[in-house]
Amino acid sequence: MRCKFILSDISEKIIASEEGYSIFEPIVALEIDGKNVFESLGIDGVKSAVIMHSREHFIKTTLKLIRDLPEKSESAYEYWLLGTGFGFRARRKDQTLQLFVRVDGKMGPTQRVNSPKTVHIGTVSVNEWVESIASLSKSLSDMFVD
Amino acid sequence: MVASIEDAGALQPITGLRVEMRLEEHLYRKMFSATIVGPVSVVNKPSFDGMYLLKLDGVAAEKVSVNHVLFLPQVYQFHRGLLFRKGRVPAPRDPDRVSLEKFLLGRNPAIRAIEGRVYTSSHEKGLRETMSFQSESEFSMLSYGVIVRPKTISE
Repeated sequence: MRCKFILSDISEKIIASEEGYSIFEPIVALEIDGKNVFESLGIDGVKSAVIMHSREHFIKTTLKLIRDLPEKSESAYEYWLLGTGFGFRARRKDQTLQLFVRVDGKMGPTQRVNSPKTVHIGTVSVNEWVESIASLSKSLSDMFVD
Repeated sequence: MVASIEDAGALQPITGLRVEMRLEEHLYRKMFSATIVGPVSVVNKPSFDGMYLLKLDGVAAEKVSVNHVLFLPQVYQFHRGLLFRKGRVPAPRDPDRVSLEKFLLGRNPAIRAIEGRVYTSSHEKGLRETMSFQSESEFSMLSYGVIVRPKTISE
């Protein structure tokens, strides 16, 4: 997999607690070719992302991306890490996605990274991106879904 | 009651232990055995703390075309059904870094595997003497990988 979401700062006590689903806020990083894309912004990852609710939006957005494939040759999608000032923009042309990190202080904390800004972080195939979203979602399901 | 991985105390060294390992997105997809040679550091790069050198067993070494790999732990894989369900808990101030030692010796069945980056190095001989790298350029990523506990030390 050329791109992969990495969750860190995970507390086993939190994910086992009765309110873990709602209060789980790990550090989220995205790696492309084994490199953490947030290092170029001077941070290890996005802190305190409300990841379970972000996941719901990620899945809906990814389903739209997939449905658009046969209908449009170009499209763009936003994947925001809720509760933070960080998100991803995926700009599609045919089966290729240009990926960008977006930083916007109006959306949430930016960990002292200047905003607003949009930084190109790499190019991946649609398949690779969809697999990375599915893999992230499965990891989260393994923690919270009985 | 099973202690959480955060409550695991001081642990013994894991050098010499055998583990079961699998590479992701690599042509060789089978689970194979590897022996932990020891911890490896990278000068002035604390983000690589916790990385280990592993020696692959014969068949895997042949298939992957290297005798040794480096494993940098990143994420635990949890087994939701085995998490000890608790009521409300305060958020820990500083959750532990993902650790191969705690995973292997912690005996917590709720942590079923540990994922991380797998690297190879062309500086193998020197590495086995110093167990350290001077820079990141001395090793390169092979793939992501997963380690599970060998049956002898699992629950």
